[in-house]
Parts: sequence; C-alpha cells; structure tokens
Amino acid sequence: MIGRSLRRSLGDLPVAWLQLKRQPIRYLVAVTGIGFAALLMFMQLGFQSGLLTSATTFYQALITDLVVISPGTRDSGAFQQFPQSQLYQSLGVPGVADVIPVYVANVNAQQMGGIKPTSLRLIGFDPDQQILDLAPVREQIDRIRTPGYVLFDAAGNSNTGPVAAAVKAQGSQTMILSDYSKTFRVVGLFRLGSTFAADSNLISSDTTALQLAYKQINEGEISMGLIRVTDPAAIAPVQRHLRALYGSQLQVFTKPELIASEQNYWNTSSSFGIIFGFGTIMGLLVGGVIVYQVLYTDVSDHLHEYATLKALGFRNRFLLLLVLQEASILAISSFVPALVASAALYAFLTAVSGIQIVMTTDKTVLVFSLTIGVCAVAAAIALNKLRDADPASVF
Amino acid sequence: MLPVVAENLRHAYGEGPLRSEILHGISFTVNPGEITLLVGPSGSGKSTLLTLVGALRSVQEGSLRVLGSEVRRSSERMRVEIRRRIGFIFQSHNLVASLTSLQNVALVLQLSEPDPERRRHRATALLEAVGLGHRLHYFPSELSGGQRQRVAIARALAPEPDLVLADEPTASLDSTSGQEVVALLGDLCRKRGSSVLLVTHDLRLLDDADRIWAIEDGRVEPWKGSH
Repeated sequence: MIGRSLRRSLGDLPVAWLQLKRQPIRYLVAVTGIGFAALLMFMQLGFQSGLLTSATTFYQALITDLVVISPGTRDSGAFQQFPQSQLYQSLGVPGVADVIPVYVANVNAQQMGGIKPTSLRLIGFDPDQQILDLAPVREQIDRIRTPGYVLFDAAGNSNTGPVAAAVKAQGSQTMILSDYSKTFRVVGLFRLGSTFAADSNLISSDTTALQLAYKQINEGEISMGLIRVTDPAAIAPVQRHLRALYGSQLQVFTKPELIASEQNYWNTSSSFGIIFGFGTIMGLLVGGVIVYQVLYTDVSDHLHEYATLKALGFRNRFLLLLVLQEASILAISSFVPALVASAALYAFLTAVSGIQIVMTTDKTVLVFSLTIGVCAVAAAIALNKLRDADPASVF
Repeated sequence: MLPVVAENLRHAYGEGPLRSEILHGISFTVNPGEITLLVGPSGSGKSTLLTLVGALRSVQEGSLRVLGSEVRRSSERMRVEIRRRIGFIFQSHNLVASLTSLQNVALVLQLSEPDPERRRHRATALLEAVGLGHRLHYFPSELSGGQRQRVAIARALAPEPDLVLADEPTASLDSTSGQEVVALLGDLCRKRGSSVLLVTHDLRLLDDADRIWAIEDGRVEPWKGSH
C-alpha cells in the first residue's frame, strides 16, 4: 500500500527513485545508516517501555481499590516499611471493607546449577487473601500455606537458572539464600516477569516472607497496605478521608495513581528514563546526519543536471519536491527493515531478560514519524544547496 | 514577429574596479524559421549572449526581446515562461544520467503535456525521428557522443519550441557526427518552422546557415569572412 501511494506521488516518471536507484551502493549505505538509526530509536523506546512495563506489572496485577505505602518508598523495587497498625487504622474509615498487609523485599538466592547469586523479589501476604489477579496464584495459593514453600515466577530471566524446568519436571525444587542461612522450596509456578532490579519473583505466605527476608522486614512492619472499599463509588471519598487521617505519614493512591507514580519515577527521577530518552534523541540525530549527508552529496552531484532542468523551464518547486521525495523514499525503505529487525530483537531480548519488550502500534507510529521527520528536516537543510544550481552556468 | 531582437545590449561581470564588460552594445536579430549562426572565438562573449537570449539571467543594459517578451526587468517567473518556449541544446548534451533516452525526452514534456501516455508517444516519435528508435531505453552512459547529442536534440524539440538555442553542439563530436547532428537539427527545425540560433566556432557548419553573425570582443556584426 505504501509502495502504491509512493508510486502515485512520484508520478509516471519517478525521477527521485530513479536517481537513488542509479547509485545502488550509496542507496544501500544510506538505507543501512538510516535503518540503523531507526533501530537505535526502536531499541531505546523498547528498553524504556520494557522498564516501565516491568516496573508496573506487579501493581497492574494487584486486586485492590487503594494502596497505602510509606512516603519513603521510591519505587516498586525498594519498599520502605511502615507499622502495620497504621494500616488497621483505616478500618475505622466509613466505606472501607477490608485491609490486607503485604510484605515486599528483595532476597538473594543461589542460582540453580550455578555459583552466582540471583536477586528475587519476594511478595508475602496472608494466603487466605487473594491479592493478585493471576490465575496460577489463585489456583496454587494453598501450597504456600506451609512455611518455607513459595511460588516461583517462570517469566523471570535466565539468571535464576533452570528453576521452572526443574519444578515442571519434579514438582518442586529447593533453593537456598545466597548467605546459606535459609532454604525454601519452590512448589509451583506463575508468570509475572522480571524487573530491572530483580531477576524473578517469589510469592509466599506472610510467615515465610518474614522468615526469608528477616534482615529487611520485621513482623508488624509492612511494605504496602491494600484497601478494598464497599462500593467503587466510595474510592474517592475513602481516599480523601485516609489522606486526612495519615497526613504526611503515609501515601494513599488509587491503583492507576500508583502505576502512574511508578512510571513517573522511572521516566523522570531515575537515570534510566533520562538515558533511554537521550538514546532516542541520539538515534534521531544520527539518522538526521546520515540523511543530510546523503542528500547533500546527492544534490551536489546532480547540481549540473538540476541547473539544466531549471534552464529547460522547471521551477524550483519541482527540484524541492524531487529532494523531498528522495528523503521520503530513504525514510520508508530504511524504516521497514528496521521495524522487522527491531521486532526480532524485541522477541530475543524478552526471551533472554524476562522483561516484556513489545512492538506496539504507538512505537511503530512514533519511530516512523520521527524517521520521516528527521529526513524532512535533513532534506530542508540540504535544499539550501539547490540555490547553487544556477541555470546560467549551463552554457 | 522576430524571435530575437537585441538592441544595444551590454553586459558586465563584477563591480567597481573589478567590473569587466563582456558585451559592448550588441544589436542583432534572428529571423523566423531561419538557422542563424553566431561564430566567434573563445572568450568573445558567445556564452554570455546565449544566457541572455535564453532568459537564463536578467539583462543589465539595452533591450532584448525574445519571442515577443522583453527580458530586461523581467521577473524570474516570466523568464521561466520564456524558457519553456525555447529548446536548449548544450555543448555536452547535459542529459540526466539516471534517466533513459525516452525518460529524458518525456521529462521535459511534463511541462506541456499532462497525459503520460501522450508524453511517452511523442517522446518515442521524436527519438525515432533522430534515428534512435532502437535506443529508447538506453542510459546516456550507454550511448555514443553523437547519439547523446541526438537525444538532446529530441529533448530540445519536444516542447515544439519557437526558438532553439544550440551551444557548440558539435564540440564533442567527430566531424562526421557533428555535421550529421547539425543537418538533422536543421531539417527538423525547418519542417516545423522553428528558428535556430547556433553558437559555434566550427566553420564547417557555415553552409547549413541562413544567416551568420560574427561575435568578437563583445561586439556582433554580420559575418564577412569566407570559407
């Protein structure tokens, strides 16, 4: 379809395409260069969205109306504990139906079949409660009632070793903390995905969590509190009420607010968002410089021909359109292979890292627009050279 | 109407102490349907005169009427309109390297013929008329010098111009090819009544001309020489 529209816009005599085609090596180099720049942008955007997705997958899965966390909690990878008693104060607020304390801590375990430690995010809660909208967790919740038994995230990255395969084959797998202080038994699997901070996730009872993460959490001090209200219409009034109750001691978010806050942290406060944003801009600049260089050289090489065309009665507009068409052809023919290569790399990186990096329409449209935009800007700068095409110079 | 009427035409390059006058009050005409030769040595001002007659630059002093339009004080837009009624043939053919013979001729027809099929048909007919019916899809680099100049003639005649300007069209050709090319140009122009102003220093072409002007040191006068 793109090819047909391009052909229509180029007319029956596609001079721009014929000029590019006449020098296949230069065309190939240009397409490779711009394609690489588009790939760079795709990868940066992919890493950025992967970071944001991985950071919020846990929050997305929570079954809750409101979430209470400590103001010292920066992100879902580093929770600050707060007294459980503060959470229970909310039971006195009209409209609150239930409160659930949740422990979240990072524990290091020995990699299965290896010698390196692997970082695991441990999520502990009362097994009588369902806090995660994950079918495998719901179905296997009874297994974690036994102290020391946990569910393991099979969507984590390969740093953990072949834990999931062992559990599938044998039904369970024993692991040990990297300081050899405690062991735990993996008795079931679920899928959530790794994060930039943790290779995988564990789900346990609150009792097991307190045993395994004894260095980081204490009984009576929780990482987050989930609050369910009696009626969806009560969410806003309960949130207002709780904010008044807790003041600056605790933060009260709705689930969407919590997700937005997490994304905002990674995008603006952490260095990751800045680095990925900078990487995208770098890709854009690299692409722009390449297109400019190619078009400038092309215009310079054809200057005498352009001067001839002016002498024959063609207006500047024709030549401007010619250069813009060349830029568009370069952008489109570079973008398609970059899109295919990026999709393949996304799939590879998802498989290796456990972080979901997905090719979305948003990303495709954004990178395509940026590629077209940068080509247009580069063409506009290269067009200055067209002024040197003096028709009087042909004699 | 005379296709070209120049009266007291002057042109200079540079400014102040660097100013150098190239054309010193030139007056001459080109008659309708005639082949007019402008002969003169290198540096005599031939090329400058051609750029003025071709409406490729503005006239500084004097008067120059080309195809009924005054070039002096004309806008760029008007000069483009004048150029579209002129067929140009250059010393080194100046074909677009990435286009075939057929495409080079068809490209110019885009300015006057909106129908692509008619453009193609007319371009083919012109190339057949210059004896290149078997080289329609050849690129300039695949043609001999004489063949390229024939394509250039076909391109120049494509918009059916009232005036053809040719700058040393035989310069890069051997004597046989050169005479063939000029004879062909003369035949085609006479058939459709186009006037030709041909700049050359090749005296073998004098027999093909209806009128000859000599240019030397920026001055034009009727040619009085013999060959």
